[in-house]
Amino acid sequence: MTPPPSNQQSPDPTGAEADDLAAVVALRELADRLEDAAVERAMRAGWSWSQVAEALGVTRQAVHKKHHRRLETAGIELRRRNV
Amino acid sequence: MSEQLHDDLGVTLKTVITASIEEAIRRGAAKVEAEHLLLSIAASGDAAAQALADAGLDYPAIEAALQDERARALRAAGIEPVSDERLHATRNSRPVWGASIRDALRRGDFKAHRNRGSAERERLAVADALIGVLRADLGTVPRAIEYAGVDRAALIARLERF
Repeated sequence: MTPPPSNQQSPDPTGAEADDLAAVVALRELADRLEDAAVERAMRAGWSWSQVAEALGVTRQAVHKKHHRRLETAGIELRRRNV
Repeated sequence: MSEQLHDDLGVTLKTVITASIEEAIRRGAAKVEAEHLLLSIAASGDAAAQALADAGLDYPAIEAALQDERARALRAAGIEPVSDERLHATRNSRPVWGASIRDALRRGDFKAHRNRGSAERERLAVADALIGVLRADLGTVPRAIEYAGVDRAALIARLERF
């Protein structure tokens, strides 16, 4: 890799490199929000934590830890059987 | 969670920072970032909010600019924005502090007024925090402000004269 230019000037915040980095930020935010919405929708439709976890490709513990409190606040009757 | 972030910042700014948490929650954000502080400053009724509005950045304009920034950033990756309806979810009521709001409060102009009286520091606290938000050269806020066609440096200069 070529070394970065030595001047201390800040790069253009809307230049090509900044656009790609901003896309990463926007995609992460979108993925987070879509996950919140999609998990909630599935749980409202009666999916179990294990089913949601399997569909997301993560462990049941991970999905439970991330969403349990939020969905309890939402008053969703969480399925405890068929976990 | 907020204590470490704003221990010495005064009552007025504390209220504005607390409102920034609400902005983050309302937007379904996992972290409270500088853009949420920018929004809560715009809604604060402080002289700093008036300076923002005079520059064309009242609350609705900032909201629109932030939305525009995200849409452009997603399009840079070939993604069309997803409708708010599909993203509707019960909010996480406990977002954590993001790096950008910490940086903003570090970059704020508080030290410049250390030798002034407490009433004067209180009067300037929100403007000082706004300077910190605006001093970021990279990231969501400077991008949104540039897309909105607002001169960030001129706005900082005006706030520094408060």
